[in-house]
Amino acid sequence: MSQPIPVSASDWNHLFDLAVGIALVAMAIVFGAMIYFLVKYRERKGQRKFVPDFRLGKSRPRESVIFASISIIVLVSLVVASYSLTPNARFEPAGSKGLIIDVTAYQWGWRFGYPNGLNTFDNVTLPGNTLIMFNVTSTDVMHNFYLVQFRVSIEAIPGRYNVIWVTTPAANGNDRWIYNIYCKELCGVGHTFMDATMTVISPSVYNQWMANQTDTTPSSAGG
Amino acid sequence: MTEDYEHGEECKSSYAPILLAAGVALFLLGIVVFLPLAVAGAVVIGAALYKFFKDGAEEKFAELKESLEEKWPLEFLNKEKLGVWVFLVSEILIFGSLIVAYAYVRLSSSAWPVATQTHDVILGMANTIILLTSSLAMVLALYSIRAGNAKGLKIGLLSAFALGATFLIIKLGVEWPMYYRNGFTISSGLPGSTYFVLTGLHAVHVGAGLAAVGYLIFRSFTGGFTSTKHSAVENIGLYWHFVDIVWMFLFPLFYLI
Amino acid sequence: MDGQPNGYNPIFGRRLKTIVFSIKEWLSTTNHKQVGILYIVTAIFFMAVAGSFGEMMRTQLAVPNNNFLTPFTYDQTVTLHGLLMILWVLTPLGIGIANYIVPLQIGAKDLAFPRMNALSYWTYLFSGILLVSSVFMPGGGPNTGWTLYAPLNTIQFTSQAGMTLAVLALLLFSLSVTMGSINFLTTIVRNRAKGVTWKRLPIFTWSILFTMSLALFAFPPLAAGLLLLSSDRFLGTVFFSSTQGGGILWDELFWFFGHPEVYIVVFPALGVIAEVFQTFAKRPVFSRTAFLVEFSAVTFLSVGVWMHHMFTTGVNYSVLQTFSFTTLAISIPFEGVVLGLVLTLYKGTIKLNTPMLYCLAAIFTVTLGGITGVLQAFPVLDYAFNGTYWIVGHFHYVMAGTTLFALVAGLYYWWPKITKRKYNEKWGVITFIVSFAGFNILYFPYFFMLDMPRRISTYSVSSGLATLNLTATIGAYIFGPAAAIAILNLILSLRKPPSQTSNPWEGRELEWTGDYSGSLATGNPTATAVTVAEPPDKSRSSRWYWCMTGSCKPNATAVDPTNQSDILRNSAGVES
Repeated sequence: MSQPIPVSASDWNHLFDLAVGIALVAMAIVFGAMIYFLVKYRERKGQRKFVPDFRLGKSRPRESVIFASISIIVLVSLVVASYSLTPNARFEPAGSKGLIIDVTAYQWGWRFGYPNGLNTFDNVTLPGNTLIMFNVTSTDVMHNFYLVQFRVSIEAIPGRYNVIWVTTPAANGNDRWIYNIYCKELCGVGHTFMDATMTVISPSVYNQWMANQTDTTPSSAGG
Repeated sequence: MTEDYEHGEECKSSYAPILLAAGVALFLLGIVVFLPLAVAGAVVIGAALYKFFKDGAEEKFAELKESLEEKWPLEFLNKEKLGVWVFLVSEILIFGSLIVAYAYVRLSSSAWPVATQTHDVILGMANTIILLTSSLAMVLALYSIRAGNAKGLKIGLLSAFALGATFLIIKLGVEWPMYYRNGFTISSGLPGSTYFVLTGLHAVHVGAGLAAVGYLIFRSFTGGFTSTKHSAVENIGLYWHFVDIVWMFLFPLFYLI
Repeated sequence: MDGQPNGYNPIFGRRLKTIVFSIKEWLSTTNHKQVGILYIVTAIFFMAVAGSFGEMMRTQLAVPNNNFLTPFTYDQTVTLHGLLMILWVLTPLGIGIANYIVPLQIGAKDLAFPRMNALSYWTYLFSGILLVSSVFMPGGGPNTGWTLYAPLNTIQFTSQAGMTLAVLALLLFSLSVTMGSINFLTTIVRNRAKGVTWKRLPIFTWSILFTMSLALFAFPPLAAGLLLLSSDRFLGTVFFSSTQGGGILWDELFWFFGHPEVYIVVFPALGVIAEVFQTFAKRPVFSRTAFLVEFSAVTFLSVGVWMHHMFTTGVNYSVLQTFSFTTLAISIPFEGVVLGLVLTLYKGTIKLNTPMLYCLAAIFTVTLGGITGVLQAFPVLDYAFNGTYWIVGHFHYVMAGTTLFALVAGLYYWWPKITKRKYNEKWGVITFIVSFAGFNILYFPYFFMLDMPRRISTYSVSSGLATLNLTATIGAYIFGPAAAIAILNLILSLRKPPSQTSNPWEGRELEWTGDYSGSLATGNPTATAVTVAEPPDKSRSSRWYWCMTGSCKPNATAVDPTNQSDILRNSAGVES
């Protein structure tokens, strides 16, 4: 697909790749040691070996401290990387709050409310290269608003408004990017069928589309 | 290297556990599906509790006195008392969780009635004093039997039982019906829900405590306790004091704020 | 016993017809060995039920747009599969092995409160029967997932009686475990024989001590949540229907229980791995004191990480940062425990038989599963992981992998002790290889399914998930039957006559080497079951050391630890 990957996802992928890389190194060390020990110290025929010349059962403070220090350094580096590499969808941006979309989950679908009062169901059309603020809630049970390709999700909880920010990828001319929205929290028998889509179009096409809408029912999602 | 000890002699068998478990399961099934089953379950529970109490009275499962065990660091606690303390930890956690849940819903709600609007502080205070006095009676009962005074034991136990029963009668017979008449019920919203569930669970614990004290009374009248053999009095007393302490938390949390 | 009469059963030391076939005896037993066997048998039964549910789910998900199960049936299946496996299979399997082995390892006659032990078992059994029967209620059983999230769990959204019955079954089960924890904690503190000091406590018993301490803390909050839910469903209270934080309230109570619960599930497995490695590498665990300190650190920290299950609930972000920090912190001692186990192989004399293979597989799965858990500790990464098959892969690696493999290893390892028979080693290895392969084919694809939400009953062709799902289903069809045959191997060994070797593995801990014969005949004034010889050098912290030098036999002579011939002379007498 030539469809662009949102910025939040590419950042996520960088952090993920770094973490997986470190994980693979750690696993190689553990499994390597294990296999090495299994081969080198396997029981050979006729051997009954005891090792009284070995410091059995004694504490090893020096080795423990070294091990703990290495682990802490590795983990702290990962934590620092996670903060510097990845903007967090929950962090309120300074300045403009972006285009505010009210998202209301219900059994079993999604209602998107635009600032001018327009409501769409199971699809949200958005301009490209724009900061979007999703104001998420539910009218019945807990759902989970998952922007799959953005690698961002937040739960839709009745009586509560959860807010996330994403930036849509750029769209020009007749570009029309389709992204998936899934519900990630079991919410009844319709949970499997609660898919929605996000359609990203160029800002000028978006303005035209918005002007053509006749449904001006006020959004009742509050906010 | 064998461990073929004759378990028939050492580990005495009992039908009480399976009976109690079956009774409770039948009771729970009954309250969901078919109420007569729940009644049958309650009957089975009663039979099982009777068996447990009978085993206790016959001292079928009493421990050997002398033992060569590793005891550090809790040499001063015998096995039953340690068990009761561990049990009380679990009780602290369940009441603690419920109190935290109450705090959570109260603090995140915008409008919560002040206690004087919904609760009768005088009745609550009276109940508090009654429960405290019943704990005192249990302590006096224990000290009496330690000194070999069987009569003091009986008086203390009977007083504790009577005071505990009074607590329940005031709560269930006077206080709660009054609240219900005023519209403050278990389903009238979060304030009612939290109050009735927490104090209701506490009342169930008081009821269970009364059953245990009743067992003690029965045994004290049949000469089951002496100045050296009375650990049940102490252990059940511990539970009774705990139930009192829980009320010390519930009373201010519901009646005073 | 000497002069064994006909029909003598060496498991219980009584005549066969009065033991094994006496239903009355099994119904009224309070003996820890019989209760342990009851737990294990019942757990295996529930594993068959829950495992079949798992196979049904994988069948439904094998191809896109399948209609083998309706969404409602699928949701009930996934709920029951989760509840049964975590609570009615893995936890009781560990408890059952502990029931049998812990008193033997500490030299006790039985648990501290034998009748309460029996009550714990029967309550567990009946609660499981109640749960399974909830599916047959009109309206069906619970369909909310094992996490029973609010407000979905209220009467308004899940009105069927089967849901209420399941909630009560869970409540009954938490009472069972709480009683068990009181019992084990009191036993391990007070019923140790003279000579079994804290320093010399076997690692498996330590692991049960940690497990039961956590159980004491974790199950009451669950019971509290279930009580509130029950009162919502029966009495019209509004705890979880309330829009004033009802959903989050359930999350907090449930996960405050839920996280320690997963450690309750895995700790006995880690204890078994330590025992198996010690015996089959013929050396004590690496750096025992550090190992136990790290193990207890994991125990303490595990009550402070629960909100990492709630990273997507939208609670205050600084709270999430705190829990991310604690979750990363707990991974350090946990790594230490796993490394300590691996280093137990260092300079050992390693024998690769069935229990050892299962434990090695358990180390593999705990490393992989644990590391994916560390990745989930980052909230930003968890936004994409949470609620998808990545999480399903993570917890199946640590639960179906580590816990199940290690507890099965425990069954294989202690089988000669419990039944005095040897299973078929060749078939043990074959079923291990097949089940390990099937396990990985089943669960490794899950880490590539970030686009698949959990608990969906089907998916479309255009989602691109078909190949991975079909692969996983094939893995399930391999893993399930192989696991069943592994258990069958154990059961079929009972056809053979009992062997006379009571310590075929040359195990060193007290359950193998303790002299329990005749110490409990009436008239014996001691309350403990075994006399443990004092080691010549009281400064030794590990029983292993002086046991390896042969000194743990009651009448062993003192040895010079540097004299090889001395050691071989004494150790030759250790196994019978």
